Amino acid sequence: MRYKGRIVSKGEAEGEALVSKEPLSFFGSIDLETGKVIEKGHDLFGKNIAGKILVFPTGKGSTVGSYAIYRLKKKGKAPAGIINKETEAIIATGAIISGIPLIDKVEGLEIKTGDKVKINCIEGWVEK
Amino acid sequence: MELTKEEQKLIESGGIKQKAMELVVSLGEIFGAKRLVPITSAQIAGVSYKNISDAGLEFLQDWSKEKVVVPTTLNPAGMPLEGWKELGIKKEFAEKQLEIIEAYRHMGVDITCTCTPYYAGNKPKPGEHIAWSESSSVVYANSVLGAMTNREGGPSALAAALTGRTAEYGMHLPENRKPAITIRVEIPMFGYSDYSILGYWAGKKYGSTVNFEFSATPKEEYLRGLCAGLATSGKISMFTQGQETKKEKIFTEDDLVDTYQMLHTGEKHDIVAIGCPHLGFDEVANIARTLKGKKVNTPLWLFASKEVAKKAFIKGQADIIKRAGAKLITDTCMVVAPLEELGFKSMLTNSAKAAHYAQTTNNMEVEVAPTEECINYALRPK
Repeated sequence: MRYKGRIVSKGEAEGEALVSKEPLSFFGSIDLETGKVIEKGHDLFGKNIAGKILVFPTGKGSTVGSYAIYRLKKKGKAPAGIINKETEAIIATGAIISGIPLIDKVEGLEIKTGDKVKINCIEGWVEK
Repeated sequence: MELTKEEQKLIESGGIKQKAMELVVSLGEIFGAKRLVPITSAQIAGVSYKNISDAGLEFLQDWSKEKVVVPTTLNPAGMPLEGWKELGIKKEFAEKQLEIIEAYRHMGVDITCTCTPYYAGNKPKPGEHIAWSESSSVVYANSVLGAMTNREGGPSALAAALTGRTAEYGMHLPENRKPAITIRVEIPMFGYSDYSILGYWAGKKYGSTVNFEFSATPKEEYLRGLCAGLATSGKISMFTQGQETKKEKIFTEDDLVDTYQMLHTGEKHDIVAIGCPHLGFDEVANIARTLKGKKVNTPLWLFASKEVAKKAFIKGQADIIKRAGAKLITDTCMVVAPLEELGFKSMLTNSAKAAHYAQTTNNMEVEVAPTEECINYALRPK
């Protein structure tokens, strides 16, 4: 089924969902060499975000987070796509400069870790 | 969002300019902007290697193929661009820092690394739309200069500089510049640090434009301290003076003292730092007058833009400061330089902003005091 959302960063992506209920900072919370979540107490602690469709509510923390997303992308350790509940400037900036598709405000969508998901940020939908 | 023909052309141009335009437009859409506005000036944060690390450096090198289209200056770097060895900055850090500067230079950015661009030739006129990112200068531009800017992130200010545009939302719209509350200040305010503390107090309490009623008109340099305080503890981007509001709050002696206390964690200081935000020429001259013929016993570091330092060099103050054993340092500041790595543990300063960040990013003990007390502390025999 397809769910409509708001396009923040253009592109298309497909992959396995990795879902968090907590806001995420790419700076300080993720190992930029491996893509592993290193923030203790975060519900994704120990998981690897590389190549995943990363689903989380919104961003938090330092504005350096935008650059951190860019670095992950260049190392091949970035998520393939991002779905936010409602995005904010740091994550949006990072996704756009890195060319990672990002969609938010997707109505009626419920995803759990492991689901196969397709993002289309040309037309503005998520398929599950 | 409605784009002009020229803007449409940029967004289909391919390459870095397209990315920059996409960033400006997408951020505008997130914040509900209807159109873009042309800007006359940009000021970019994300300069210190300590803050942006290799991730930021790589990004800047990739984007450095393109040129900025409006006058653009930079935030302070992690070290003085010349004479960094004298401060004990490590070679590995310096090399990375200079690579960052080189990338900006390649983009046609004016290599003026300061949080007070308005003292260094980047001074917008009232009513002009600009894209600045250093938080204290954003408040200063909106409130003192009457220009219009949101608090831009590093990449978004750079994107604005490359496209000459920013999205029309927030502080670019007159309705968002109106104050919701008046803060009445009737207690005696003795100088820079008091205003800096007032700003820190108000920024913590309120989230949008505030109006101040002062019983005595503050000097321009005190307003700079107020701006920095406001921007440090919260997200205020502007203040006004002399406007009417429905709500009112009185700033009391207790509020002042309690806020000083909040930023007071150390007694024995191994560095005295002044110039957050960067000092104006008059303040440098005033400090030089106090230091004349004396010697400091605790390191006294004064921070200013290279334009202000150049004037102090020509007029003789720089020499007086040097003879007193103090340092007049340019291009960097106590917030973005790696002070902890340089071995400093406790800082005395006249700036609430400097104290706040010394605690959080450099892990230091701090105390805020009036400028004269800071200088006297540095001069006192140990």
